Amino acid sequence: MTKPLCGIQYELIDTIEEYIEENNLKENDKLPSERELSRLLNANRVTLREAISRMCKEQRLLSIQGKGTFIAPKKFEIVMQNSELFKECCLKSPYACDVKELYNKKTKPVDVVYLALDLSENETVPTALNVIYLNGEPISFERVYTRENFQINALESSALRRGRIKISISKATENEALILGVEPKCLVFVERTYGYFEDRIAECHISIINAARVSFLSREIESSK
Amino acid sequence: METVPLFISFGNILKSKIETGEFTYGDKLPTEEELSKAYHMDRKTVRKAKKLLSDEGLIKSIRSKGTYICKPRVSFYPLNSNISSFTTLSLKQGFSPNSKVILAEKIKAGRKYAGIFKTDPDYPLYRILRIRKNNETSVAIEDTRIRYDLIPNIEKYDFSVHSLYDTMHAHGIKLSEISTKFDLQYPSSDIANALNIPACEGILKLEFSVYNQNGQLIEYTRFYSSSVKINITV
Repeated sequence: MTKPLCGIQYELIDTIEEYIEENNLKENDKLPSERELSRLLNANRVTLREAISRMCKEQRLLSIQGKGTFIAPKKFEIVMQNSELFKECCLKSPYACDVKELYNKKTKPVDVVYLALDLSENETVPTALNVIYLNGEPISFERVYTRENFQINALESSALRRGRIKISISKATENEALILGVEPKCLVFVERTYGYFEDRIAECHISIINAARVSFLSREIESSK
Repeated sequence: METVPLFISFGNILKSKIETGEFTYGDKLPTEEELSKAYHMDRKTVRKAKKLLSDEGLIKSIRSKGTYICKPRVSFYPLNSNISSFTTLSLKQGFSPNSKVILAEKIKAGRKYAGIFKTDPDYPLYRILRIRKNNETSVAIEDTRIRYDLIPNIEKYDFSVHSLYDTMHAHGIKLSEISTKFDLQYPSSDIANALNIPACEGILKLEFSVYNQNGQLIEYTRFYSSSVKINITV
């Protein structure tokens, strides 16, 4: 088996990164053509192509058929804290964050929500769909399903107890891709949590996050023992 | 006192039986009727609990055959790592973790890691490249770089057996802060092969930066894991 993460391609990736740095290439700048780059870096074309392909998979470069290879835009780095929703973390981030409501109406939700809210078949539930923008770019959208008859006013919303936040990985459906402006089947994070009020689930919160545009950060300080 | 809906708490009971191995991979879950009798639960509650578990990928229902326990996944808490090693995490969850060391060698930092460790390109680091397995399944690839002079005689340690953190601890190295970054990407073919996953499947890439009490970076690790083999909870 070839050793993973070793070999000429990885050294070449370092060389490409040096080239990017030395030439002060920024987001959306175009790299020289493969032929030109292989001459400049004194690299074998096949190896170069492999190195570029890896960098594309890591989302550091973006290859567009017929146009060339570009420096990929940097991912948004969002600091995640315990029990804080992605949306809340975005609002606290240094980026310009905007939350826009796309709709607020009754819909037929996904399976898990039926179970959680104890709905009968075909019952609809008030759903709010909000899109979250960072620096003007749609990054994520949340669907909040609220149990009918549960009025969220100032007093009660603070009484809403949030459960743990679970993050899973999935591929965007057609509809999700449409809202986020991505290709269907793109990698997305799915964030799910429930809001409890007086021992019952009053709210289901499901967010879809464009995984190609976001990195999560956290900092943990070890307390001295 | 806070209580949780019945189907969720019953679901948690089933989950813990799967986690402790009472119900293991390959077994069939008792039927809805058996479960409802044994736990004095409404069949509707049992069905809802099963749906929850199925939704989390823990069980799989096959028409007219039954419900099977799926291959277990390690639960990962990347934002609450508490400087716990993968080994400790896995053991706590009842897995048998082991690793295969692919590479363990002294290297020069080079331009990129000189920047990360804030030293010069000739500074010696020690690189440990491992495939992390749980119960014989490859779960992750771990690429660690530490300062070479951190642990005396580091070459004599076999990191397929020893835990790096235990070794650091034994040498009185106090870890103070860990900074984690994680995101999804597509695997390159060598990583896909090593983890035994198709190239179109996403992988989770974690970058750990571990600092000592003087604020110095002592360890930088890149951890690549198949996204279907782990759960993430915040």
